[in-house]
Amino acid sequence: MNLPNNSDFFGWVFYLLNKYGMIFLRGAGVTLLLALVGTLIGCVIGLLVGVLRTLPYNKKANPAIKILYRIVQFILAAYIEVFRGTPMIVQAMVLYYGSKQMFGVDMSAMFAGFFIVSINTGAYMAETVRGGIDSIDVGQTEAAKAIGMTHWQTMVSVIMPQTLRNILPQIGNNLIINIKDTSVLNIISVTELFFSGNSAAGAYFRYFEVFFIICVIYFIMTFTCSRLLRWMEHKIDGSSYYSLVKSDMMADPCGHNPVKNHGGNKTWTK
Amino acid sequence: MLCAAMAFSMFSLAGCSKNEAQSAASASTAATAGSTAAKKVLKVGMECAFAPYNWTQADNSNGAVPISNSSGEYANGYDVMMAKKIADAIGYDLQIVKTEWDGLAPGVSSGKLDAVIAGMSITKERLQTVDFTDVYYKASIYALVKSDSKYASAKSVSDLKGASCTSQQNTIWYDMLKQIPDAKIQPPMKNVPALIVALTSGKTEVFVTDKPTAMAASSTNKNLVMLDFSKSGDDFKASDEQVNLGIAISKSATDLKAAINKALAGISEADRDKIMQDAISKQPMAQ
Repeated sequence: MNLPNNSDFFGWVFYLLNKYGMIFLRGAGVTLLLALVGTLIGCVIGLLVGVLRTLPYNKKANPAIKILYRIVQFILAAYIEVFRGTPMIVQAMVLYYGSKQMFGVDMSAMFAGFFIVSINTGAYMAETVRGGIDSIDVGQTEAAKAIGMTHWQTMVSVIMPQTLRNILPQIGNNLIINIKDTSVLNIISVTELFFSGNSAAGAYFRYFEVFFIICVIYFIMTFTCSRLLRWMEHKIDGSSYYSLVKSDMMADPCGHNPVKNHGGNKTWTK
Repeated sequence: MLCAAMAFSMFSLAGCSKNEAQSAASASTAATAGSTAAKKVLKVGMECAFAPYNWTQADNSNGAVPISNSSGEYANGYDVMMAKKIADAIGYDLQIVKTEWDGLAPGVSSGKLDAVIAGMSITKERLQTVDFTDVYYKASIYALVKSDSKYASAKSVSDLKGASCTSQQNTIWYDMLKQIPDAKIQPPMKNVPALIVALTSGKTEVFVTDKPTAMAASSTNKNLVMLDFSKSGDDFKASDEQVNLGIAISKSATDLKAAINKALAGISEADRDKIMQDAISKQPMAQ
């Protein structure tokens, strides 16, 4: 295959795809793997930290528990502020090279990548979860308490299901941000999509053509993810037509006029 | 339909990465198995995006070496050819680790890499944190301009008077820009491909670089010419330290330094020119 003309943009695009297509795909695979695993672990961290951060402060508890509470809250706040407040590329440098130089811990580049994306996402998610919990009206907590539910029961069966639905768009945001932001990890020799692009550009000095391809690949990945998440939200919402009860015993004690089923498959009396 | 196609592409990508994770895992076990055997491994870092010193290609043609941290990618170029000769001479197995430029020095000082062969010049600042072997290539300073620019016929540095110019970040080339009289010095750029684009698109008029980069860029971009001022008496004033490229190694690796220096002594100046010529002719753009 001959080199295309200097000005032949699409000629170069196809030539580079032919030569470096597999390298780009592998880079895209690494990027996607990092983003998906990082977001998943980050969500788990965020959920845990977020729930702990919203624990109510009990004035009547014994002093030891009060002190423990303060220490845990301080550590969690420090974690969130430090990892949210420093760039990921800097964290990667410090963790990957620093751990080896200072402590002799030789972690693999991919492990360091997963670790950094996860704790970063965790810090952001913790605040998202806190916001999600705070957004649920306090009346619901009070109502749950009034019928005798414990804090744990209230969280699991009343607050969390609503919180998770509400923060789903933000989880999607994080996933998309991670797909794009893992491009900084080439500093610790993780060969993700951006770095693959750099290699091709460095071999042929065709910057624009290579990064046009990389741009399209990134967009396909983020667009697919955002559509899948929208579809998931839609699934969780269920049908927009549903009846809360099949029949209203107060209005229709003899069952002569059952509530009309609108075709929605979701009822609360199942 | 569109959605289905995208979902499919996502799954195929995920499948791809899984395969890679497996092959990477097997590669790393192979590497550890190799290191427990008699032959030691020389982990050499480079960008693999700095033709003709080092570049990435998709196959092992022209004697390219597999990149250890990314399966299916192969490194080649002057640095790889030299690394092969050195590893052979000192009896090590060669392993190429692709690393971004700014990760190379930390890599060697932290011990993640044994050596960096990446067209790196020996400077006092770098000597603070890493050690360098003897010179493995002498890279004189050249200027690159567009062939239709008014600077194309410049005979000396002062002929570039008033030009807008730039170069790569954290290189000694960028320091050379001050020698151009009344230069409009622009902010530095990340890497050479970006600079070539800046030059061809007219964003900058002069790109100051070294001889091999200029040779490679002008041989493949017909609208670029390289300017050699060495015969004019008004050349870029660079000290030996600035044009001499060395192999960066850890300060504690004194035995390795002596061994590499001995290997370098066996490769003459003429041989090095020949290897560079070979690298320039084999780089992907020249094929």
